[in-house]
Amino acid sequence: MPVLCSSKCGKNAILKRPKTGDALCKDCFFWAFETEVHSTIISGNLFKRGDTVAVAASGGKDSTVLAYVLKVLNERHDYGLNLVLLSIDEGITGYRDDSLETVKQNRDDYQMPLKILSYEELFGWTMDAIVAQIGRKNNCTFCGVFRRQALDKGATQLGVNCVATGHNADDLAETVLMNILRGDIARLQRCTSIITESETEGTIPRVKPLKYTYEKEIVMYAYFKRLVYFSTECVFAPNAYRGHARAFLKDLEKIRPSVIMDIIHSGESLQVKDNVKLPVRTQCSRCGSVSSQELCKACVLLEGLNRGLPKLGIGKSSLANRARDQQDAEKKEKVICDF
Amino acid sequence: MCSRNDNEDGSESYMEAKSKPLWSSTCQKCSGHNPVIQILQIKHAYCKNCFVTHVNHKFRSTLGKSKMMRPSDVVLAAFSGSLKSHAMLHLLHAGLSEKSHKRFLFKVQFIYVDEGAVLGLSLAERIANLRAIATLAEQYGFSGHFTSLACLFDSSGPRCFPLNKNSSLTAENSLENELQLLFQNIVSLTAKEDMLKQLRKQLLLLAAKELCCGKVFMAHTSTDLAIQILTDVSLGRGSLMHHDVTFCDFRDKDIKILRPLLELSSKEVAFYSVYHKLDNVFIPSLCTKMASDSSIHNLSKQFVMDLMENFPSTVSTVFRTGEKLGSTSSPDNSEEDDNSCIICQARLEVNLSPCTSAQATEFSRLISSLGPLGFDSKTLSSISGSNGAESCCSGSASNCCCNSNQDSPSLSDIMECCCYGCRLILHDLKSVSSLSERILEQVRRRKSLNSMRDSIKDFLL
Repeated sequence: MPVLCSSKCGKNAILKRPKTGDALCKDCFFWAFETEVHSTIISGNLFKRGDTVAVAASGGKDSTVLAYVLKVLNERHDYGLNLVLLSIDEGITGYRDDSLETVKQNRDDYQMPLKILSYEELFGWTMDAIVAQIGRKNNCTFCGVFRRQALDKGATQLGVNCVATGHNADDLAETVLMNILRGDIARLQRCTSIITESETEGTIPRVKPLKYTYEKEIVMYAYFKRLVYFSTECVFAPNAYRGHARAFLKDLEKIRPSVIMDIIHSGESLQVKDNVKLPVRTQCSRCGSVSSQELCKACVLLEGLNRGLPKLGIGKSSLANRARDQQDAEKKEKVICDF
Repeated sequence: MCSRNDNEDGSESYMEAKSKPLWSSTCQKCSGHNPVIQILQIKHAYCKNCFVTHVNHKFRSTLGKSKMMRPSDVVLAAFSGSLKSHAMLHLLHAGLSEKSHKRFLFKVQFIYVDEGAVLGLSLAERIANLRAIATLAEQYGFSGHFTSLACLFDSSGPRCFPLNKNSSLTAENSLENELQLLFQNIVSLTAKEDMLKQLRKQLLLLAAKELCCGKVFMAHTSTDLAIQILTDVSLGRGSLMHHDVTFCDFRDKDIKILRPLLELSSKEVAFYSVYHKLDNVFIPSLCTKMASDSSIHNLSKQFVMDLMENFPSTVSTVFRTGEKLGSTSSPDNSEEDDNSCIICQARLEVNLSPCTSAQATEFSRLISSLGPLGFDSKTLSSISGSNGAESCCSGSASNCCCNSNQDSPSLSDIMECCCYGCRLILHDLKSVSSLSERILEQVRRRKSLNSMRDSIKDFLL
């Protein structure tokens, strides 16, 4: 016997919501999905009327659904937002070039302007070139750090008020677990916030409208709406510790589906002792972006690449400093010999 | 976000495992005229004597550092018969029989909690366990007590009984049945374990009050606490986690729960037991012999153990993370009784921000059941501040709690008096009437206080 939609609309349900276990029909699911994102946007005060919002678009499911839903909600509830797509081209042949095609498709379908920034023009390095130099280990560090900065730079160039990213509930829960496993108390505190705090002037806040949306529901939404998205995974390398946290979370979810929301709740309500030292956020002395160190991670990594010492930003900073000094000393010697 | 975890050949590759360090051939402490017996904390090799001194020292320094112990204190050590709790008794005994200036000045009693009714043991087995425990602890000469979980359901009468080799258990059937019914009504193993943990803690606190002990010692090791951290986070208990995973749990106003073994790993405790030839009484618990995916606690344990294989610093990293957690507010502003969870006694969370995960879940439940037809935008604004207790009646009406008689509080009433984590237990509970009378009574009292406050609130200054 078919199950009826739990909203009593009389239609047969076609799916079970992973978050609550309710069975819904297609139309009620669309409605519920969109209303929930709307509710998150309203209660979290994510946008102001007249804002220009850059949707960080990778062409993957999260950002495709995010762009679509924001467009629908902007029209339905009259947020008065000006939406643009912002893509970062990491320069990964066989992966990003294909996914950018999807983003261009989105641009045409949703009638939003698109801005593509490449690692090459920003940093002078493509990911292909970086991987050629450092190998497959640790390359996700470069990609992640550079993308973060590229998004900031792109947002500044576009003159937007905020950047919306497609982080979903699963991503957040995973990050909470990972920060516990790594003992990173500072990130643990801020990783669940829906808007990145902008303490320092001039930084553009990033918001996560899909923060409370299950990854599975995003896939369901994209599937039933027949949204085009790019689902090939990156051709480069594993992502370190996150893999453990992800596998653990998937197992937990099988035992109790609400666990994702429960972990986010834990992350939101964690309290840290008053006497725990936390890193102070300052600005990078070289490029001016937010950093807890003298130099931001992107500048250190870039310096390493340009010096031919790609490990400079990977290991301990004391080792990095030693390697840097050694190279400087060698250079000096060379100059002296040239005479 | 990068979501790639697999290699081209389909094999999963995570962070690379650390290579195993070489065994050192000398003791790190006394530079090794003795043969080295065990390697601990990766690089530390100790000989047997230095190791035992090291464990003793850590135990004493944990107590000393806390600056909480007073000479007049009477400590109630929770003794389950496990290796860990036996090691704790042994360490306490060693501390009490030291030479004058190093001797512990506080007094020690111990208590055994009989959980046999929940675990499905026969009365004969439970009595045998009880006597085995008494025999085990006899050598230390502490005054021993025992209590039974079912005593929690008894609103009057003593809960603790003296424990000796001839002690016997009289299972009072009505109470035992009540307890068993409660656990039968909990559908998931995760919630059962969580409930058992909360009940055990409550009982220990009540017993400590009855025996006039100001402090309860529990034998949690750092390994246990690392597992507890991951479990607590997954159970939505993040805000209260510091009570569960640091040295002191001060949720109760009068009685503190302390964990003097928390600086030791379970490996250290196990070796300590081996060197002192400590016996144990093994009583299988709810999750013993269950698959690792049967409960969140079991899974977390499996996860930590697996990680330890390749990343030996996992436990200490996670444990240190837990140490940095704490309450930002001062501990003693819980003067109001009605502001604590009726199941775990934690302070109820004040609504921090208008946009939280709890509200998002509640909102999802609400709109999934209302549907586009039964919903208008006014509903949205009216619920955004509440904690969603109204979802109770919107479900299927047949077994809705609101139809039950006035005397027993409804599910939503109880939910309101619980913290987020304990609400999850209630979600897995088939019928709220099987909760203990003590809890239901508290709910009723709080409800009536609230309605009184509501009726006079216009005149309150």
